[in-house]
Amino acid sequence: MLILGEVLTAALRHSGGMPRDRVEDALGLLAGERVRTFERPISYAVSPKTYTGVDCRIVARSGAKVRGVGTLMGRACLTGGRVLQSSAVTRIEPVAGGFRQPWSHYLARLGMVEALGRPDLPGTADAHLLADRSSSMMGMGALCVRLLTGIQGSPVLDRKPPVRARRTVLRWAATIKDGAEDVKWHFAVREDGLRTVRLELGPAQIDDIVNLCEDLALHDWLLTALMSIIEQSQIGVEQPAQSVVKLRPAVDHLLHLWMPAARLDGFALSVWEGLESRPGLSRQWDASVRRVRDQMAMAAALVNNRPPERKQLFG
Amino acid sequence: MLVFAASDKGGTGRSVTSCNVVYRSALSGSDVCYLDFDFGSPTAGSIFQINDVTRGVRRGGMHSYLLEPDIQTTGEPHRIDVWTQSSRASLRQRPPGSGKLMLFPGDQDGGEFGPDKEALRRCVHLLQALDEEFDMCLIDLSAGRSYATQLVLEATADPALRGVAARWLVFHRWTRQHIPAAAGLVYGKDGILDVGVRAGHDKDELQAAIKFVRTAVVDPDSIELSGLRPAQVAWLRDCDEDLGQLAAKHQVGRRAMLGEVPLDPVLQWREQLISDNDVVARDIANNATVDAFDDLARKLAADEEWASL
Repeated sequence: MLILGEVLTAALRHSGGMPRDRVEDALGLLAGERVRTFERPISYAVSPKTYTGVDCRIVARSGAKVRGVGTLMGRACLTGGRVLQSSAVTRIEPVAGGFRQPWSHYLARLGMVEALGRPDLPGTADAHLLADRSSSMMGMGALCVRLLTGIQGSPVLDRKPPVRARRTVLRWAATIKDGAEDVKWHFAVREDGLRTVRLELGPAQIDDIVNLCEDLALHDWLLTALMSIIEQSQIGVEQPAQSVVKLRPAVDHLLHLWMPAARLDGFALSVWEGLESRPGLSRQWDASVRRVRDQMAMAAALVNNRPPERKQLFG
Repeated sequence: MLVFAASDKGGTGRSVTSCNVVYRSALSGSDVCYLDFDFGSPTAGSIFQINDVTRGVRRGGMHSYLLEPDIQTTGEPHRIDVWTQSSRASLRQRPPGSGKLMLFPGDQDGGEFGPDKEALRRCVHLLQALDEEFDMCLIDLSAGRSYATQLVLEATADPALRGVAARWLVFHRWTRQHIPAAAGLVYGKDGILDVGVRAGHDKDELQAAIKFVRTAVVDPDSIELSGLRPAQVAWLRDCDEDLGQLAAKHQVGRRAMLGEVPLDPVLQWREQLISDNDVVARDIANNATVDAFDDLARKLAADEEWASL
């Protein structure tokens, strides 16, 4: 079985953290359906699931073109009141025969796309992961953008992003094999703000895979945003007081959000454990955070105890 | 912050000044991008000296992103990182501490177009996504009353973009023809204010967000003109004064002005970015020109310059 997904991650366009009661207004994608919120260990809210019908070509790497009909599941979530994500997910199910069924057929199988024709699942997974950022399979990217843009345009937000960062896209493909015992995974950072994850695992809940991929996308985005702030703060070139001013958004809005695998268990935890040894996201994060804190300590020390101006040797 | 660059006539130096202002902002550490909405003749590629796209890209530029139904709206049209893609060596090294400098090029065979609901929707989404990423997005519009101008006025009136600072720069040369023309573009029938109010903007707020930029200004007192005879200088001074009065009469006077860019041979003959290297090492461009760009970049970001009276 093949499950494909895409996650779009961005900073919520709101100057501070979102208070809990407002979060429900922003994420309420469907009238009458509740936004689920959690407070521990980090505030987290997830929208109800929405479904979008598709009837499109499914491309495989081999060039085989198959027609896909069904629905994509979409949802949005907000972590720490600051980082907004939207996801599109679907399961690809090969079916015999080449005819489209009435929509009631697909509405009874939400979150599934039937592949009509001669499907090539591994090739489809490859095509999904190798495509460039702007050409997304089955319009998943467009669905993510639509969900995210809708929330970012919500009137409860003040439209002042706390940090300026590019939206990142994480594309994933999970192959479920009944006999498989351990999880195989491959995480890649590509150019253009695109990341890919390939998973191979035994029977698992789709929701658990989505949670894992969203968590990965969240932490990768945090790390990317922090690194870019540090780069532009010119540590060691500018005066520490000046660097600290540029580092401030990171301290105010990002540093407290790092909490890998906060709501994960089972196979997802083991994937995170693997990621911690290579590429070692937390190691890089910790080193960067220490760097930020050292700069702040040094700036504070220099304010009270300004060293005597050194006489210049030349000129 | 969104900045819209408009002009009534072509050849005012709108694009070349805008590119330079964006470049100076990036040097000062802001993340900036330049969107080529001059659908008829995209030229930003040549100003930034990106070899393959001097006249726009073959596909996937701004025009097709807004208009072609086949292109997925992933909020990500074709982008070019000027720091790595420019063919000019002095641009290719991103100075430490500088911000992002991104170009969103136009299409080679763009052309104007008419009102389009889908284009408006895409435009709103695009500006929203870029505002998340960049401190300043400069949108270079076609000259005159174009649909591009109407499109961005409607987009900025959309509830999704309310609260995002949007500022307008109207470029005009410091001449008898250009001053009334620039005034007409802003205050005249079907001008920016007229179309803006129809799109749902508040007239006073919009007017406070529009400032004029004088280009190719000849300063009678500058050193470059020191070779002129006294009679010529006196005559230049009279002209300058007349123009000042004309500008005041058309509401294009000092109060509505954000800055002025002096006449510079490098800008006139080689529409390009002026690097510090051109001023200091090669001595071909004037320091005053770079100062003017810096001044514009600083004032663009300074809220007090834009406070409504």
